[in-house]
Amino acid sequence: MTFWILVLLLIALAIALVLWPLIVGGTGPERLEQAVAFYEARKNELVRQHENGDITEDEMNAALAEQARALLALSRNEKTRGAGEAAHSVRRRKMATLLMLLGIPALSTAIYLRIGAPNLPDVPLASRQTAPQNFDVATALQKIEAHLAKNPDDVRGYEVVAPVYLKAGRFSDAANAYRRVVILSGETPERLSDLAESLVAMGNGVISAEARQAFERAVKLDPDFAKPRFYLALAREQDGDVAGALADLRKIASDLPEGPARMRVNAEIERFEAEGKTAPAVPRGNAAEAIAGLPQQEREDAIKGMVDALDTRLTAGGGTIEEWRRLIQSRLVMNQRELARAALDKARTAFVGNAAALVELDAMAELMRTLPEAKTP
Amino acid sequence: MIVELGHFVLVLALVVALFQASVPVWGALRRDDVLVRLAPRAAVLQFLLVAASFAALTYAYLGSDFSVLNVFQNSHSLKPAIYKWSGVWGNHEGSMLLWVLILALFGAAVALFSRNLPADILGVTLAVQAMIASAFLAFLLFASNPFIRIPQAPFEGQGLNPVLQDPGLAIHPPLLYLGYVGFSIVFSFAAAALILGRVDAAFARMVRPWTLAAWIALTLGIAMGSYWAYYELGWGGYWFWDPVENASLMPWMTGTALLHCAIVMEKREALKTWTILLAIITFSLSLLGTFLVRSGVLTSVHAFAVDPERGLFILVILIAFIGGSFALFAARARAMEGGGLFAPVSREGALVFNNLFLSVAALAVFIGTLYPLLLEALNGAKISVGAPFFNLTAVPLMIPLFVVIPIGQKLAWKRGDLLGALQRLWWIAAAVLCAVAAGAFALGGGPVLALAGIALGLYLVLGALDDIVERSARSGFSHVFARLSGIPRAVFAMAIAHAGVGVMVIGIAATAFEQEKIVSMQPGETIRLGAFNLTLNGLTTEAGPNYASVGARFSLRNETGVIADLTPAKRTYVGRQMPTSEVARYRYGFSEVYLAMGETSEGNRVDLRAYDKPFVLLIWLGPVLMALGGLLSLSDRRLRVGAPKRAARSPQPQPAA
Repeated sequence: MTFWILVLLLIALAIALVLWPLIVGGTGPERLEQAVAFYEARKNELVRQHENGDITEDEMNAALAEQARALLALSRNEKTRGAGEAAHSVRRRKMATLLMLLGIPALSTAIYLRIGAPNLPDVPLASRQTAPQNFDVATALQKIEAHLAKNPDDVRGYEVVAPVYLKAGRFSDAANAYRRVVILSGETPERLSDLAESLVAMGNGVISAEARQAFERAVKLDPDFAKPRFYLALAREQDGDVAGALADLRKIASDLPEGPARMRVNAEIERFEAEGKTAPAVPRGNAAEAIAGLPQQEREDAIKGMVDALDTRLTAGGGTIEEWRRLIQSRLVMNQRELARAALDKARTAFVGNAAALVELDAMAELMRTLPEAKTP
Repeated sequence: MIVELGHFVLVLALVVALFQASVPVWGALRRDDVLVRLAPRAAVLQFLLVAASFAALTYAYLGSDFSVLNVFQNSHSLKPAIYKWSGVWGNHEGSMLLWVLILALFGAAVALFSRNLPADILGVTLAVQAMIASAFLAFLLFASNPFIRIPQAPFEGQGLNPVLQDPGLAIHPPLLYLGYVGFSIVFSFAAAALILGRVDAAFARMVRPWTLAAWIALTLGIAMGSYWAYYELGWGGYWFWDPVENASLMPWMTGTALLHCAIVMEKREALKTWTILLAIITFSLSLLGTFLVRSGVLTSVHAFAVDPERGLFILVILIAFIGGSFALFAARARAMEGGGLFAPVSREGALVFNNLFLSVAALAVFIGTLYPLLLEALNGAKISVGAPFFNLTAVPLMIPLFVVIPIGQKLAWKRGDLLGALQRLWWIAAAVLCAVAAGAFALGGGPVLALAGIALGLYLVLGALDDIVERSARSGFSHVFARLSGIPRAVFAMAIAHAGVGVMVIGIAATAFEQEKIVSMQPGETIRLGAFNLTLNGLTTEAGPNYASVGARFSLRNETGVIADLTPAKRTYVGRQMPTSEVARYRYGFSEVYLAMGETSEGNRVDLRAYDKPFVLLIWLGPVLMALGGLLSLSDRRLRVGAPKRAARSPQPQPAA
């Protein structure tokens, strides 16, 4: 209500300001009068300039003559301006007044109602933190944060705030909180998975090296725990091993009882099947199954052969940034650091001038540096 | 409620602008001064409304009100307060609101300070200004509304582009806009003159101060943008001929021509048609610049707006205003009566020369900027026209212009004495050549072009200042100070501004003496850079409020020992995973040592680009001097003729003769 009263006041103020000269009428200074005043001012100034020695007397006189001519022309012009305009002008003024009197309120409210949201209140941060309906989120969070600042070793506090952060989209804060929980009360499959899950959220779904390690440790502690296995399957997909990822997901789904968790995994499997044809082209379908069926040593040789083939092809003929990344990742997974570095260098040369690709390659280099040396089996 | 009031007030501003654009024109064509006098009031009201709207958006930003989509997308509750402020115009919608605010500001300023203009000229000028405002307010409300709301306010915002988190950039766009949009008022004056078919004597006086004000802002805006690119982007360059930079350079060039033209029109009432044409061209180029930057047709560091619908909207505005004004010009320009006559060799003649060269140079930049876009639109080929093109076209065009500046300064109005002017300059030119030759000999030679450039710069500076010397010592040296104080400020202004051009030319020419080292260094390693030794001490890491940074600690030595510790760094902002380079600089005199860090690799190796840049700061000192000259000229008492009528009518106290 207050809003609409203020809107009305604003409209009234606008109309009053704009229409004032029409209502009061009257005439301003005559044009000729104005021109004479200007001429006088200009004359004074020219005289002053002459006195200062900036212009000669001839120059001054010439300039004055020019000004006088202009004044004369104007006065002739003004005289020819008819005097019979006044009769029409009253009607015209009434029309203009009416037009604006109706137009300003009608147009402004009509446009505003189309695009505005008059019922939405302001929601500044301060009000969000004190509003009763948000009590459970904002205020509680603030209190716990203050508490934790004083008692940095209180595990309970971190356990409470971490999921709240995650929901609020403060992923890095969530990851930090979960990390504190793990440090303070030790590793359990659940805690490790929560930490890793927040890391995945932080990376927009990309399973980073740190997240993967945490999931792997969780699986080591509890080989049947579904959540880390699920993410590790997705990690396989992100590494390009679609067939392996799908097999893992099917296995997880069959291990799970009916329920939301299983539905989640099945949804993922359906996505795989829907995207099946467009998925990356490294071991898949028959080739992948054939490789999977081989004994350990031969399997490794087969994979190595495929990666080498990819390397040769990319080195000779170039390829997309996606292909190069897959090559580097494969080298890393196979613990061939030198070859991975060589591939990275080749990719950098291939993408000189392509800033987006170079940024991606920098990220790969970063990953390579942070990745710990895998133990040779 | 404040946010919604801000939204409503913006709508109201559009409605007021629509009436302001139509009613006064109607009145002027019917010679009804009462309807015309509505314009100044509407202009002031419009400014108040847009300012209120801008204040409401600022309020939403400061209070981190994420129920406003624009605030949610561009702010974050943890952001430092100054970036909450600058966040208001650090995004597309907000910056367009700022654009409209400045447009309204100029309208209101003209309404308040130009009372002695004939009512019809003032009214139609403000009406044209309101037409521009209506178009952009409509664009704002219907295609890039900053007041769109989110019913359920998100918990946290999405931050601001880290490259744009810089104090320099908080001031840069407003200054640039003051320049761009300032030319709108000159455009409106020109359109009004064409619509009414006459150029008044008082009108001729009004154009110059407004042009000057806009030109000062644009000069500073461009210089600041160039300086920002120099220290923020980490390339050490000062001008990249990037389309966004060109977009601001083109109106500056024609605006400079316009400024000089306006002087002729003011003094001699000549070149009226030229002035009007240049006013139209300059503002058209400003609109083009807005289109280029705002529509996202370019992809560059500056252009952070991508949306084809908006581009089309601005393109329609662009075509309507440019096409409309040129059509008006074609139809009415002949009706404009000519002014004072002048001989080819005269101050006016020199200024025409200046106009031609500046305009042609602007055309060269125009072609270089738009041709690649056109080609891409036609056949999808992506080519880039780089610095070589501009260095071969626009730059050589500026050289004869620079040579003529001091000559033009010495010529009298109407009919000048070329021989007399050259005689004096002859000495200056000879002295400069001797000095540069001696300098080159002492240094053991140098690039010929750079030496020529420095000579040209010195010639410009001395030529500009010689005017003052000559005037103050006209008849002996006994009354130098008395004469000095008698010289009008405009003369000082001209000397300072032209000297600024010379200073900038010296700075640019001196870049040829720059030293560049691109190296990969290990801690403990030392390299030689110009007259200095540079040692890498080690790496350091630091965690900022919203970024992590890796820095390399260097110490800079000369013969006496360590003179500075420099720490260039690379920052990675958490929010956007985008690394930025923080350069480290050491200034000595007008010169600088400039370090930019590249990759760090295993074993603490640091890739480094190190520069010794002699006299580099002159590049920006020059434009600052030009702007200072402009300010001085703006404060000259001649402009006070434009003061309210009442003061002019009362007898003025005359200084005792």
